[in-house]
Amino acid sequence: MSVTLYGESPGILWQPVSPRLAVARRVGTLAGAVPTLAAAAVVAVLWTRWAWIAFGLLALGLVIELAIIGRQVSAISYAELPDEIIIRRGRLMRRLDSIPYGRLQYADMQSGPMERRLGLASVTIHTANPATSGNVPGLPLAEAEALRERLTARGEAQRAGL
Amino acid sequence: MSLTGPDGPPPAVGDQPTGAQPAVGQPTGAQPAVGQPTGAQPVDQQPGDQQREWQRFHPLTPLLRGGVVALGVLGYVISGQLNRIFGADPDDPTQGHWGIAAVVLAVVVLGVIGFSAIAWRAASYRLGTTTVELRTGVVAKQHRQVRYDRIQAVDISRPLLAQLFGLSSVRVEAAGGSDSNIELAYLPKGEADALRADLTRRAGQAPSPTENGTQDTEEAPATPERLIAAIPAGRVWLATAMSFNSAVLILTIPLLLGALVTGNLGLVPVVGPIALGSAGAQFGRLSSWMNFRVEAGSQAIRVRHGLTEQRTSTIPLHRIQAVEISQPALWRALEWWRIRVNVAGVHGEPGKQEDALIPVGTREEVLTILAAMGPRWSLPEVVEGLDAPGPSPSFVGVPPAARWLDPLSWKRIGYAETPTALLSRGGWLGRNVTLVPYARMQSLVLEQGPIERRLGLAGVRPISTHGSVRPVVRHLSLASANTLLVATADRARAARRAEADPTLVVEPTEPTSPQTPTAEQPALPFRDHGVDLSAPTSGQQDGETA
Repeated sequence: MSVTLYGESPGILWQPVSPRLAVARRVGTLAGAVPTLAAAAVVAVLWTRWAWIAFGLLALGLVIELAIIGRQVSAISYAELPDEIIIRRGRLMRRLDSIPYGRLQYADMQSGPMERRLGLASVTIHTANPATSGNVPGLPLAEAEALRERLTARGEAQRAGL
Repeated sequence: MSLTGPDGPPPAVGDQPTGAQPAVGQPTGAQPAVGQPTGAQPVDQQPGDQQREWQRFHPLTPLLRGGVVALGVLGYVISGQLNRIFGADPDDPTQGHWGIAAVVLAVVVLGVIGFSAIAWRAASYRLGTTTVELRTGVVAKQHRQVRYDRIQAVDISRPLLAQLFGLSSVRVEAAGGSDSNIELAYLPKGEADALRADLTRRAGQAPSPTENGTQDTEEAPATPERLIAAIPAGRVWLATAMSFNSAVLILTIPLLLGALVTGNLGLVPVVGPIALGSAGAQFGRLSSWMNFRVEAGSQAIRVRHGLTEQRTSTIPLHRIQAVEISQPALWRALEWWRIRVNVAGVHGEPGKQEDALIPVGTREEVLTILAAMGPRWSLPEVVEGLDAPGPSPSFVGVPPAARWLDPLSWKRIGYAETPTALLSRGGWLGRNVTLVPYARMQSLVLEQGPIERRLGLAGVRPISTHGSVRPVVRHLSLASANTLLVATADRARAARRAEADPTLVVEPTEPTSPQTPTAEQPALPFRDHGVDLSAPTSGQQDGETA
């Protein structure tokens, strides 16, 4: 068995996260960007046409970000091994977290308003180091709940001291 | 005790002494140093047996806790009110109503004293069978407890004002956030020292044989801790001078003086804050590093330091999570190093917490401290990692492609796998070696940025607990990074199992978890310092600290 940073790994079943996470993230990005774009457009119409440059740049950035979100979401995957959960994410900055169940302090679930509407939730794994906790976003609600329960149960069973 | 009503809230389920605590604080009979019932025989005991009575703090505590300021402010306000009440004549605010003024003043002073006294009476602490408890508050009562087996460090500090009265504050650091610490203040110096020793002993494991007679000849029986390093004042000055901040000061102070002399003040708002910040940092170093003494016991390292405020922190050896030995480039010629550690539960408070076991030590001192920390930390590979300018036998280096990212230090970057720990080294002029035991790794990270990807490199980070030591093995080839990740995960797994199972324990001094940690003992919330905080998520939380 080998764990690889990207692509398939022999002997490991990588679970993707729901593509609907991309929808949730895009909506969130749009909700943040649209007021700024509108403000730039208002300035351009009322005061100076130069503001269209800002509008164009913002729009371009938004388009790029919307395109990247899909690739970012498809880069997230996780695998439950007998002793660890492994989470991979990131396209440009790739990162793989291997978190032993025995180091789990607790696992919790969150679901933002947009995620909730899409029936998604994320599970966060807390170890004794608050800075580097694992996060599995974009899981269907039932799957997230099941994952959290599995993690907690395995954490109990394999618990290790500090 | 009548003053706080019920004899403490019911302990949380997890706080009950259960049979599953054989590893914790089990006294092996004699413990002559402290000479009182240890209370650490929790099996089948009711809370209340074998525990000390509630103790109050020193009566001057309210005064030291800001009472002086409060009195001053109150006095100022009252004098203003008196002016209003009795007339605006600043020469004689009482306008002849001396009697009334005196009565009002007396009432206020008595009130303040009375309130302080009530607050003082309400605050007490106790060493229970399994926890140290602190009760405070008159109206909103607070009851905090910290389990002995969760204590990460016991510090003593003596602020200037407290030093005048010969008082000390004992701070108990526990695993969890900063709100999981309790401060027992203020106590007479001797009492605080005894309390620290007692808490450290209760927090540690069973007393090791060296404390019960078979001591080194150098160790006096009553003082198990021996001085192993002390920083002379001259070295503190020199080490402080040889730092980046000094360079900043050397550049900025002439600029400032020049600006003042020439009257060209435009620079001052820019350069002034930089110089001031650097000077402040330098002063902070000086005052923290002065009188630095390191003492070693059989189970803990004690660090005392401070110029105006003396601080003592005791770090139980088994709580140390990771170690870094490093050297700023400027210290290279002097062969000075510092040792930093991550200790579980000790969250660095900037400027307050000194996370160095020694901030500037000679090579011999550094090696002595490592040796005192025990076989887990005192490894021959550490010395190799400190000294080798390039490839060396124990260390696996990085491929030549890494020179694009580390043109100077790529020959030194590398890792070494010992049976118990992963070492990482780096640095070119200023060198560093970090050491994380497999049994102390939280999780593992494999990461790769865009340039690394182009070069076919990747980095591995063994994640320790929160602290200033952040071990990383950078810029390995992707294949060897993958291999290291898998191998380290395997070793960490084996190490966790060995620690969880006493029959497999490699190092006898290591803490061991009960064999069936989950069977009858409910999940202990990680932050189980206070009954009021433990309830809501205790079912999910986990954190049995061995």
